[in-house]
Amino acid sequence: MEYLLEVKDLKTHFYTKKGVIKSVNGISYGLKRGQTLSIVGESGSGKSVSVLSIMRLLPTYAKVDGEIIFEGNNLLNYDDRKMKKIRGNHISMIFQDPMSSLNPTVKIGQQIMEPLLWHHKASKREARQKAIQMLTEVGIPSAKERFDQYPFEFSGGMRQRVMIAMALISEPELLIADEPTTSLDVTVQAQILQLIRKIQERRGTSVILITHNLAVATMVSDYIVVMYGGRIVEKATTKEFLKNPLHPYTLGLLNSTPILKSRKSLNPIPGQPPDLRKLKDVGCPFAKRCSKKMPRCEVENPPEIKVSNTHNVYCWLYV
Amino acid sequence: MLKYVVKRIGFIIIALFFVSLITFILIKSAPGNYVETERLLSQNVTDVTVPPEVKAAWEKAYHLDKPAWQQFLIFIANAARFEFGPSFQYPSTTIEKIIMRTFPISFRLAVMAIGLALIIGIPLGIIAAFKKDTIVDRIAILLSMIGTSLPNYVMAVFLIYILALELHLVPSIGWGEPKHYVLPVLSLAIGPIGSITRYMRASLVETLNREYIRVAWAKGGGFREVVLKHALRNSLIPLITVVGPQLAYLTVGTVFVENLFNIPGLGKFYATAAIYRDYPMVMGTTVFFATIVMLTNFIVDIIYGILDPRIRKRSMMEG
Repeated sequence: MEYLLEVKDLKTHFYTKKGVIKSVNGISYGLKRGQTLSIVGESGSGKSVSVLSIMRLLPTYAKVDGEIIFEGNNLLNYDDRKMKKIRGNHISMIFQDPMSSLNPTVKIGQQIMEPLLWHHKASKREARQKAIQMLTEVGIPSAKERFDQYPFEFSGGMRQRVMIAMALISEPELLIADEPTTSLDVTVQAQILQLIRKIQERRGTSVILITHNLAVATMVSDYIVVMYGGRIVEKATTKEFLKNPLHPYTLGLLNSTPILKSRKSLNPIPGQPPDLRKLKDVGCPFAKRCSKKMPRCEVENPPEIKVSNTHNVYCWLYV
Repeated sequence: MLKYVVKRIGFIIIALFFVSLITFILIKSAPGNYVETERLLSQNVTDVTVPPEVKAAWEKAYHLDKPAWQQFLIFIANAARFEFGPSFQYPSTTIEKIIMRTFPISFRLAVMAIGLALIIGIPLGIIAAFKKDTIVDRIAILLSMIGTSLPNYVMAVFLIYILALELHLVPSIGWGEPKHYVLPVLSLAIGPIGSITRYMRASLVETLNREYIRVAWAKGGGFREVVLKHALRNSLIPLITVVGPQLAYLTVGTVFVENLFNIPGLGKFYATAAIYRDYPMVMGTTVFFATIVMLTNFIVDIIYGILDPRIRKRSMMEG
């Protein structure tokens, strides 16, 4: 199957007064049409920055290198005007905090219509109809009345539904969801994930899901990418990932995920996530916390091990 | 809403009572009196003593022979009906008539100055916020700091020197023609230009950092959609709380400028009354100015509530 999005050797470095922060340091992955890819990692692993690099929503002191091939074109060669036509039209994004993602003084309906209006894809009347239809589709009752309400009249879960409606109204090929359920109640989390999956199946949208929750990732995605310290440590289809996790960090993540009814004790990974400013270019970023560390781990970059055509792990253990 | 309005008006009335009381006490305890000052200043005589029977008759005419507390009560009773009686200096007319004649002049000056300040300050603030931390921003901040720290009468002297004496663009003094407005309005506007620029910049910088602004960029908005539609709207609401009181203070604060340019506004009458110990005039104008300031603040709060849907809808729900 053809790739909708291919990220090749993506590097995002922030040039600050205190030094260069290499948030994303050479990652590659591909996303097929209609599929869901999850990027899993701790805070500071570079997972959010990697998708903000795709959207080009970073401050000016960030430098992005590599290739981002979307529908055959390298987005990194696009200027601001061309990027504007991509955002909210071909690639949409939902963010972590639905409470602050909506403008408090603008009516919900207006905000949902905006992607259509800004990209001149519909007249105001058509956009209104479509917005009401979207609100119904994401499960907001009495959508017609809700259209004219303000964000403060919605609960957190409802606001995230509004965000989803807003992101999908222009029928984008790719939806990026940056921790869409992190700030919601557990019961609402499941509903929102289900909603994303249902709409994705119906419309054939491809999804990149950013999460720190491995359980969430295995539940909804076809492909999983695990990031640590700005690099990918393991990537595989969800099936292979569950059957044969290999990287010590992946295993650590799995061991520190609680499973209901299991008597197995939790084994958290010792140590702290790395300080990206101090991270060296050579060596495995996880080496300092790894229980199976070998001398070469700190001085040589880990090799790419092909477990199968769709399963790669970056670790000296499997040479 | 109605309950709130009634409550606020009640507070204003109480505050006005205390303003009157304090002004009255201060006036009564100030040295000098009108009769002697008038002879000293206007008739240029060194012997300021007045025949006792003349003074007694004059005092009787203004209720000055009664005890102080009675004088105060008479003032309050009259002020409640917007009647301040004749002043010492202008016995043939009443203070309220003078106020009605001269206040529009001061008010018009203040409105023109605020209008000019908004026209210059808002765009300057937007540019500074959007070009934050660049040389453009630094220059805008520096200019606005000079504007806010220079008193308007100092500014007026500079302007007279440059625009009237050196460049001969406008007359330095006079009243009645549009060209006579230029210098007073400019000198009054400099301060508000500075504070509006700074406030606009701070408010917009804060708004631009909000999550919903990033969402708006992600929806494919450009400068017009994101900054002018989403951000500016929300930063202008707090600006009203600055502009309203500014207008009130400017109306009162035209005192120096009106004296400098010999403009027959209320400020000039106010200052002259203080010099001549024209106590009824001082009392009347002080209470009038206090009313203006408090009413403006009140109106600003109401407008703020109407513009912010969160406050508006909540107060409607409360009835």
